Amino acid sequence: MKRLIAVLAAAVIFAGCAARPERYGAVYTDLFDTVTEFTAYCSSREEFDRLSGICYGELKRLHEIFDIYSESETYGAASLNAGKEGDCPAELYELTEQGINWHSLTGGRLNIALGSVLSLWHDCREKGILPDPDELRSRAGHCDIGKIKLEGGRVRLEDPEMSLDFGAVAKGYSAQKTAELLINSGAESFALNVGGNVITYGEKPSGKWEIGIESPDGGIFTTVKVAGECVVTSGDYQRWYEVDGVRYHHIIDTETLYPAALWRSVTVITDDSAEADALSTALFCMPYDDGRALAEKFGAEVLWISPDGEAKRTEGFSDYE
Amino acid sequence: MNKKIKRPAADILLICAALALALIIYLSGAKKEAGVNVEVRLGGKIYAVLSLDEDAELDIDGKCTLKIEGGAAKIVKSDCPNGLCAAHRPISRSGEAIVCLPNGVSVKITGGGADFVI
Amino acid sequence: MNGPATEKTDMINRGGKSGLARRAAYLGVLTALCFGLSYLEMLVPITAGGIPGIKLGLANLCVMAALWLFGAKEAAAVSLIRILLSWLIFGSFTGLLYSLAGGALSFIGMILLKKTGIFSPVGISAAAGVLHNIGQLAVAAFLTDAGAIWYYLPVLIVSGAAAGALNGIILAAVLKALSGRQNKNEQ
Repeated sequence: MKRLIAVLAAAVIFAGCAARPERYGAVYTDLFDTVTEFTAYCSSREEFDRLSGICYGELKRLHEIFDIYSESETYGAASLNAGKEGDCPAELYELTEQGINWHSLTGGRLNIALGSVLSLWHDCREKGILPDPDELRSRAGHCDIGKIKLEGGRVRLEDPEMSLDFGAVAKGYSAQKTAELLINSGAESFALNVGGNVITYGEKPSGKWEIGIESPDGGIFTTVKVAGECVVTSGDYQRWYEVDGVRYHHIIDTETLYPAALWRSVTVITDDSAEADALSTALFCMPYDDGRALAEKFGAEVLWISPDGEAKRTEGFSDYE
Repeated sequence: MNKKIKRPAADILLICAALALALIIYLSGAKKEAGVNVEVRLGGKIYAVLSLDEDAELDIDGKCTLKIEGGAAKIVKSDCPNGLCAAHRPISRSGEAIVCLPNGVSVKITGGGADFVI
Repeated sequence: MNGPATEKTDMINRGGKSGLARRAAYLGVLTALCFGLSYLEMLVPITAGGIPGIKLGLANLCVMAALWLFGAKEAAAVSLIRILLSWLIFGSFTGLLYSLAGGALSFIGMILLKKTGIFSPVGISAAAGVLHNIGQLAVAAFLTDAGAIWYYLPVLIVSGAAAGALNGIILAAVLKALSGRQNKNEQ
């Protein structure tokens, strides 16, 4: 018995002394027009710097592929159609493929072919004016997702006025790809936040990762605890501008062509960051019942915050709180 | 009583195991940061989330009355038979909680420890 | 049953019909005492470290006495009747769930630990106290908020172990006194 006690005591002491991974963090501000935070538990500073280098490098690479607001408007029909076979980055092809799939799954609420409408809103936001309704309607005529053709590893647009915008999905997709690379590079415990698209892997030594969900009126509405899941929030308070004292935010309803007004914010928890990103945008533009059915189809947990501050949740969302 | 049935070593080991378990759970849950929000649940479902910074009084479905004062939360009134929840000291640190079992009411301090806020 | 316990069982069970009546009487007294002690505890709430709701679990003393003097079935009956009586007289349905979960878990734990034959009443009772609280909190975690319950768990494990150990010491003394009396009777 004494020996047993001695062995147990030794085990406890040994476990207590074993090297504990330390918490390290990095912030990148020049990616996806937003702030990116990377936090990881590593055994040394060098190890973290290595992972952070991989993380930044991969995000930067993907950023350059997807950034529609870069100098040259990369994904207009002209440039896409001019490209030869092999010119199209594999990620662009894959995300276009996923985008077409999400369009049908979300009943058109998520449309990566909305580029011509979104670029008009973007230009108006820069100038601080409202888009001309006629112009909006005419541009909406060039958003038919069926006109995207995927052939021979290339993305082609049959409508020359059409352009692709990956704003609603690129951050989530890139976070997912980057996380996969980090895991393959030996990362054991990290959380990555690309402008509100959070992806987690493993746990902290003290337990799960804790992600605060901002309240639309400031402060923290709730905190979700995750280990391996992704959390994404789409909110009208994230990016907006004001014309004559009225706020216009950045999530455009594909039907009204104006900022969606059903919710203040929608938070989605799923296993895939790209999916969570797409879903949060689609749900933001959908009434509760339709959204709930869609969330169930994806096996996603959702928190909706309505304009009067009331919250709705899917059954399993509370399990994360 | 011919044979002694007392074997203190085994008993002590058993009790120490329980205490070690308590210590591990305590350390895993212990957060010393001051909290941000007060999360109120009824039957496990979120009933309200209040800020710890603002003094307030909340009636929880006619069952308990929650009072937030000076950065701490306390149940000041409850219709439960034993009134244990109202005897609980005020809570203010992240992870601390007051539970009223008969009413299924729980009040928990959250925030202060989030890794990211989105 | 262990050696010494069998002796006592024999003492109480001795002799046909009158033994049966005697057994019933003993169990009745134990059950009544059990109920009385649990009522007494309700009247004297204990608060430790600002957290109220800590119990001595004196009712379990009677359950354990039944377990040592008679056997598992009898002890289970004492425990169950006590729980149902408390529910009928003071309780709510959720209160019943808590009691059943705590009672069942601690009871199963006691039976298993006693079977190993290496623990004294003090250790077994301490474990029972811990398990009783864990059982109740498991139900509470299910019915309320698991995160909030986690906060209570360490305090209730420690208090369960302490109160249980205290009960065990009392039980050991009672068993000793009974066996002393038995020896006297047999002389």
